[in-house]
Amino acid sequence: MAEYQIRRCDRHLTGGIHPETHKQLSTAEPCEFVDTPTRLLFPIHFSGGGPGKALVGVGDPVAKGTPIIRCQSGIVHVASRAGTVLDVTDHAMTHPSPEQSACIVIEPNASDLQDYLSPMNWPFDAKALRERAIEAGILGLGGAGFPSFKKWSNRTQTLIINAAECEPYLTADDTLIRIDTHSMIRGACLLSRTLDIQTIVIGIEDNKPEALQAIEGALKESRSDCFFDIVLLDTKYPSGSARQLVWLTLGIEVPTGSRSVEAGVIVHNPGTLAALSRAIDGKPITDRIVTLTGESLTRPKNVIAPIGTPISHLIEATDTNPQSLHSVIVGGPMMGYRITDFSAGITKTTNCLLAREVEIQPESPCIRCGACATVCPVRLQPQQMVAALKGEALSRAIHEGLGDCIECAACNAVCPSNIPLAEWFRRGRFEMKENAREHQQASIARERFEARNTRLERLAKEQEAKRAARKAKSADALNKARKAREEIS
Amino acid sequence: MIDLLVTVGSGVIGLTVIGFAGGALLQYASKAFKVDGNPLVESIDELLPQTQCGQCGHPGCKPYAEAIAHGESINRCPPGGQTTVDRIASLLGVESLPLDADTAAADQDLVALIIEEECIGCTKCIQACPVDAIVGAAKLMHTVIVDDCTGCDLCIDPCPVDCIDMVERPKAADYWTPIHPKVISTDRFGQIEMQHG
Repeated sequence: MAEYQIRRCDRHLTGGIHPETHKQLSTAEPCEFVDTPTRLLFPIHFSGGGPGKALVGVGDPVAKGTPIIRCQSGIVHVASRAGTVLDVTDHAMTHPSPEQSACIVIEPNASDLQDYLSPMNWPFDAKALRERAIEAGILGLGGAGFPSFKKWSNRTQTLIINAAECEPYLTADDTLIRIDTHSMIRGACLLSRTLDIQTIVIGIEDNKPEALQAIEGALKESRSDCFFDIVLLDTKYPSGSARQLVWLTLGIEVPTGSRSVEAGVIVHNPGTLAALSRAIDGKPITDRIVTLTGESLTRPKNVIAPIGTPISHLIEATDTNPQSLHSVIVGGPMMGYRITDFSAGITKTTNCLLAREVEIQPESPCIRCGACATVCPVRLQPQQMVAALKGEALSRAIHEGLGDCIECAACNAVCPSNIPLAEWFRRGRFEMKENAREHQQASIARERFEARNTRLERLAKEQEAKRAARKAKSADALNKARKAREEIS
Repeated sequence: MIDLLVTVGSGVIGLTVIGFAGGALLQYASKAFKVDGNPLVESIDELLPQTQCGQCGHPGCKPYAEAIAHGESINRCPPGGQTTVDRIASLLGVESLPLDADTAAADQDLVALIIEEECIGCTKCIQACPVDAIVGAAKLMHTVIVDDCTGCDLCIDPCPVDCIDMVERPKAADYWTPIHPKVISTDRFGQIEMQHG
């Protein structure tokens, strides 16, 4: 039995909101596998892990687990079912960008050919684990899709399992913990053993008693010597944001401009750890749990779907006609994005599809009520920042703390004037990053220009020196000749 | 009388000593903490786009920064556009000026592209490039390092066979732009209901 303790969190989130959670909507039905669809779509550049390169061509046969994309960060994405590569073409994606981009289209067949990696045997070192995470395509499955191996450093003291799942409607992590607890615990233990981490913290909101029970059960059976510190958090949005969770569970405030990794803490989603456990056994990520929910769906539930499954296929799995919906929200209602082309395939970061009626609310002017400042978990002044951004004064917004905004959209939810604050901040943060990139490019250009000038000066000096030497030499020769002539005469 | 002299004298001597000590300290500080170069030039240079294109009439961004520090007009940088003019104006605390160039050109982000089949390998563009972003050798084909090209177009004129084009800078394959909130302000996810009590 692994040692563990359950404690109530004694810190409270600054700001935050209590939205109606609607979680029972999708947890009523058991989690099911969906049938293999007729097409699987994998965006080459937007699957997570940076721009990628296709490893297969049209007509190539693939097995379940065959690498099909390698990204710039090294991360490999694999075919989620056996089949044939039908096409590599521009297609709509499950991504906030409405543009089309190159996708690999696979037509699955009935065979269950597998092309897995070889299982790893304990003991292995961090390097081998990193290598495995790359080959198995392990990304943050919570939604951000950050390559997990990049977080693993030897200076880490604590691993936090982010089981807060504070977004309304979402129950994918809850479901995963209930049905796949052992994999999650095993992944966490193996990662901790390899990185020499002593304590594993599980941050979980107190609205998931079944998941908590499952964790307790699994820990009683586990033979791990890691210590598990289970922290029960108040149900409040956004306690599952990485920085907020680190503060709530450990009391560490991650400074502006640095990541929690630099504070010696790594935060992982339960799904990521379960996927890591399977990767150690040789199985790359081919499936994930997706919450299909919302009042517009006939039978909301959680499903285990192959990566690349078209959204329309998942909507049909809930006995709903995709044509009856105008759009679905990918992710939760707070931080998700809208998608209208249902032929797009899900990616590793697609944790929820939410379909519900939308009321269109016109925006009215800011009345300076300050409600957004009260709920901001980062203690910013959103009304000031949005005023600056609307006035195209980006530097002013940055001065107000735009760089610290976590885009949680708590301000959106409470704004009585329906101002899309979070959208403004998302856009502003994008422009901020673009400016930083341009500035860095300018610095490189300056360095190269200065290096060239120094080189040209040096060359000019060398040439000058050579010319002087030549002159001296010829003068010398002339003198000698003159002397010789004088001697003769 | 003597009392008065002592009082005044000690005051005068005391203040003189303090004065000299202060002077010596200032003298020392001016040597020890001397700043090389003009810090104003550095700050202006930091704001310029570093294309080194010479369109301002100076051989590079640093020389133009020096010229601005000596009173040259601040609106001569077309690649920087109006934004750069405004930033310099706010740095120097002067009135901003409209850009002294075609403003449409400033918005474009271009790079040079050598049409490699037509290149005769004369190396003239290599000599013209202010940031060493062209590689090649005599009588061998040249090519542009796209990531380092600043789009200054100084290589266009020297090319004897006119084989260099200015094209739009290629974007990273995973580049995308979030929709502007002005566009989506009427298209939102609907109200988030709050718990009561």
